[in-house]
Amino acid sequence: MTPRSNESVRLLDRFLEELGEPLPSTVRMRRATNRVLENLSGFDTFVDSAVGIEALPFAQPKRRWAPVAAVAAALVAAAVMVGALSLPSSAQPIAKRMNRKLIAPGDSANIGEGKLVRTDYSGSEVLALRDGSRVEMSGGVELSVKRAADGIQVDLDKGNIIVTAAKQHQGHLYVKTRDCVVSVVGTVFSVKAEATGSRVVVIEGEVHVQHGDISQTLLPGQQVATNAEMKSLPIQSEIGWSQDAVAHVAMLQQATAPAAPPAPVQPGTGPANPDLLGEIRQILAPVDQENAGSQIEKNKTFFNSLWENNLEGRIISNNWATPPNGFSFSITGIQGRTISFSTNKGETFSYGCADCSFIVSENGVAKVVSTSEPGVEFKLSSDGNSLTATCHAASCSMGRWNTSASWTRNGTTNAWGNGISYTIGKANPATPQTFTIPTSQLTSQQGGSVLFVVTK
Amino acid sequence: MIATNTILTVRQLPEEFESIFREHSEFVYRTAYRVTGSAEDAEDVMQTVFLKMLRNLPLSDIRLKPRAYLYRAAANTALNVVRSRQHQVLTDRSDMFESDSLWRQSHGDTNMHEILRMALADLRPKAAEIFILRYVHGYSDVEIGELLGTSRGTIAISLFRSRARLRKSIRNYQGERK
Repeated sequence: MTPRSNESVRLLDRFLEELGEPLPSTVRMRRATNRVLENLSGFDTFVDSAVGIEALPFAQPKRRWAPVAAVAAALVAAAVMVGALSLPSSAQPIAKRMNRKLIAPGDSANIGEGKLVRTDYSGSEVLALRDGSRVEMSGGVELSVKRAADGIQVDLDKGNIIVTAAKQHQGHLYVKTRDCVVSVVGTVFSVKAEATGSRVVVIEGEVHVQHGDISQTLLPGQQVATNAEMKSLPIQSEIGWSQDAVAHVAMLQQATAPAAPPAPVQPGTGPANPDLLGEIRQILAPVDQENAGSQIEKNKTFFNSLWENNLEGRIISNNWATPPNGFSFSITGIQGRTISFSTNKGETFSYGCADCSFIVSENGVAKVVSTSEPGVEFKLSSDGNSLTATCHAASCSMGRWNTSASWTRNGTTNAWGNGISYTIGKANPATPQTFTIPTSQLTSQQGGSVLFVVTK
Repeated sequence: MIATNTILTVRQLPEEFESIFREHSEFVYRTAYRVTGSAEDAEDVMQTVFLKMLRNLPLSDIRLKPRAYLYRAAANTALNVVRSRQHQVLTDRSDMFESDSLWRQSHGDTNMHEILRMALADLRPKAAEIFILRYVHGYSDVEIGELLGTSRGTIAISLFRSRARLRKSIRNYQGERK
């Protein structure tokens, strides 16, 4: 064999070895998989809804993706050919709930014109509008969506939303509350509708607010309230609940970048903190029970239901069972300084916490003391990026399902694959088990909830 | 607070589709990633493949042998992506019409794997499928034969010829650089 042949064999072997190597990043693969599944979930809506709403442009694809656009166009054309156009436009969905969340039977992720959309308090939820805009809803929102003369109108009855408006080619996107109308052509902003009035804050772009005879234009970092009695709040407090709070804050920082660098964060110095990320962590989103300072009151209604001899298989797989002399609960999300719980009966509870340093037992939430009863102790990291759970005075286990995620147990990283799967880390009572969960994975968008089972 | 004590159900994609997606998405992604050498292209390929499947699921027998269908779709779609790069190289820069050896020289040896990917894309579709099953997924000749409905001997011959083709591409590339 000539030297050149030897070299070609060597190079080919190296290439073949590379082909067989493991993927460089399984995390990246899982993220890609989740994105694809989410895109495909939205796809059927866009095909259906495209028919009969000629006035509205297609939603823009999230990524460059010509092949799908072509297939989508072909499918739309096919739908037109089989006579789907005969459907009245009002019957077509104008929006879709994008989260992989649970919805009531008989309900649909597709939202028709004028249909009331409500959110519970288990985390924020995202609504994709026909024009490609995105509406993120906090807990307790009530709204409906309809076509306007030159675009789409969101009627916000109650609650806080963050709108990422798609570039409007011809029309506008409107958000209407009881006492004001916001119109945009491509921007990011928050609207909150309360009994006493409405508040609009701008994160990016330009927003026009019409309140009675008064018309105002707001730029990034500016806000307006329709009632003078509504106190001016740090803008970050209006968006701290969002899944994308960090991204919004970064956007806001970019748009309103001061000449001088921000001062260092001083914990506990109140709302004057110039560090926006730090400030977000100090924000209390609407909660069922706030951190009351010295003594944390227990929510009997919620926590008395924790005790179960057998865990019903409604929240999670039937394979799970609470052992005798044990109890269980789930963390369904963490937004800023609010942590949400759920029981196997579907009852929910949200709790504001300064650093989320507390213990959850069958009797409720309490501060950790040496005599704390068996339960799970939680603590938020100083940067707010992770929540550490430690089994206290008892063995406990943790599981996640229906998501791609990872967590660290006693310093070792574990991961779930796609699909409905979970892993249990059985604790040795003599060795406290510590689970560190990235808070980014505890959002409804990630589809993540964490189940804890404690054995006394 | 709004009560959430209703019995709840998930309603998104067809259950059967979602089940197939979760079982085979990694396989599809891995195929696409190794063939294209790009995470972004692999994601595009995965989305394209599953969208086509979503469209065809109710009418076809994909559900009977989803892995075989998805593998073939992933391999072919990924190879198309690699082929389209060749066109992009030739059409995006007019100076490359003069001699694509200029492009090769400018990129040096680090592009050897890209050259081999293109050579892989130039194989006959069936040969490329066999090649990927062997070297990306580590299947044996027997397993490949079962998956593609081909004899073991045919698989061995195909792999031998494919390796020879790729070695020839390397030699041509090296020859042009000298």
